[in-house]
Amino acid sequence: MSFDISIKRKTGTFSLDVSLYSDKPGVIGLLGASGCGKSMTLKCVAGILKPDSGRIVVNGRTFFDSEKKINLKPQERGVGYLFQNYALFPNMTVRDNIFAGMPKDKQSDEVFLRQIELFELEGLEDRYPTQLSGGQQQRAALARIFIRDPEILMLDEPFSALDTALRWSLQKKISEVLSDYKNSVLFVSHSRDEIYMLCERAGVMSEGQIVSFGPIEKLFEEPATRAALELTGVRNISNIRWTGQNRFHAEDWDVDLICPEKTVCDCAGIRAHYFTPCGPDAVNAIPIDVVSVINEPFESNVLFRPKGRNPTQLMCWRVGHKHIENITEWPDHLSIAPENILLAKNRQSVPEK
Amino acid sequence: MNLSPLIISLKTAGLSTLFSFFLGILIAWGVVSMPRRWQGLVDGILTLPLVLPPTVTGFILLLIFGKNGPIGKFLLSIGIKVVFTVTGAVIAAFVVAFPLMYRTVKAAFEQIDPDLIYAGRTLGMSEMSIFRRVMIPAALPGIGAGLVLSFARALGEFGATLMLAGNLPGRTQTVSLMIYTATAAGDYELASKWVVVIVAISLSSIGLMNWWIDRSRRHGR
Repeated sequence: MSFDISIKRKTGTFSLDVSLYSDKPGVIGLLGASGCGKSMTLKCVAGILKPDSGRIVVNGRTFFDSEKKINLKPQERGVGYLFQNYALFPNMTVRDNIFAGMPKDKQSDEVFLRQIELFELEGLEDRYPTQLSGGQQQRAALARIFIRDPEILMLDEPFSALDTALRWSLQKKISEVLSDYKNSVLFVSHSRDEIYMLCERAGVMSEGQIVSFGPIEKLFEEPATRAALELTGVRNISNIRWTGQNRFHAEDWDVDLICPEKTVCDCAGIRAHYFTPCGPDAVNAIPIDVVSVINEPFESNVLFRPKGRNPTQLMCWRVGHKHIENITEWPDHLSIAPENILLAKNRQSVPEK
Repeated sequence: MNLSPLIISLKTAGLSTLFSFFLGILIAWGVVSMPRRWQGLVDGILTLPLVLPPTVTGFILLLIFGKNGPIGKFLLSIGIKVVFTVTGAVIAAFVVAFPLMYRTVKAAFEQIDPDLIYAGRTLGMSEMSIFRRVMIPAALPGIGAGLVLSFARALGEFGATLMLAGNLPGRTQTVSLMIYTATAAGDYELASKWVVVIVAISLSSIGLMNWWIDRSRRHGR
């Protein structure tokens, strides 16, 4: 139930350079925009892609070591990989899919029935993948993986092909199954909600590198880099210039703000729902000019600029409809509590190697 | 009407299609599995007979399989004569029909979702088992199409066959050559009869192909 991954791989647009380590079971998330290298990392661990250099050790077994010239075939690695579109073999029934590649003497009915029951596939054993719903397909793919008791489980954007209602029921199913799973899980997603829901620890990936890593709560409370701010859903991000011990000028918003104390950070983020309406004398009160409003079913996104200023970026205030009386009348001032300002670095400091 | 051209045609087209079938599938598998930078070169060489004028292909075959050619010399020493024999007709038909089988099957292999193959590997399936149980079923419509195309091409083969196997009535004269000979001799009636035969065979093979593709779609899902 441990892994130690440290790989490099050059691609057309960026260099993948990832180090990940864990010595306990649990779900580790990789959060990143599409094309940041998170799927590539999983494919390297599975042996589908070959890193240029580095090491991959899972549960004490070396999968890959460029110095020792070790590179196990995917067939020898025994990993579980859930593909985005599940990759069920279309010409095989659910039963044949689940048993595909298993030696005949290991194809026991008892184990098979346990998987069928666990993944609620009763009665679907002889159907072909196209005769299954999206959710059933995913559960069949999971049964196919779990029957092999994989050394490490990798989930590659498993919910992105599903509609909202189905996604929720499968997220519950997966988190239920994962809580009984004794090995490590690597979960890749571009959705912060999914990462937050399923992972204990997570890393934020940007251009092939893990720019922040830590326990999931800490990652969302204190995103350390601009990429982490963006990926954990912070809508207001600005470069800053320090003007005092606890004050800075936010260049992109053209506004001066107070924060708890000066740090080495060079950008700041404000979560859109952390603004509160206030009077003109409150701390960090910003007189506002509402520019436009984007309404959602239960919330509004109010885009505004500080009154009389000339910002390069509009700021966004996100407010639930139940907190305001009339969604057309907006306050004159909004404030942000100093402790709710997220300070971060534009670039990750170079990791020591 | 002497039926020997039909028998020779079916024999050469049938045998060359049989060889194209197995070699086309295996070589297409080999080519899609090789590193990208080699694919272009190998693909070019294998496709060459498709784009060369058949007479040029026939001429090159004559050089290779002639009694002074590298392979011809060897075959002659073990008692196999290629030039002006039905063996030559089979070789000529195979060389021009093979690229159609190979290219169609290769395209079908390339259409397969790579995740299916990756999934097979992570599930512990051997490369051979992935080929047999994942790639072949997925490529079945393409294999059927390639089969019919290469059979039709082999049946219609004229130029390379004429160069390598000649036009010997009763020995190497296929239907295509027969039609040419009859037309040249002004016997339009005989030529028309053979034209009807060829059209009938070609139409039924297209029918067979469509039936196959339809069937494999239904079963392959």
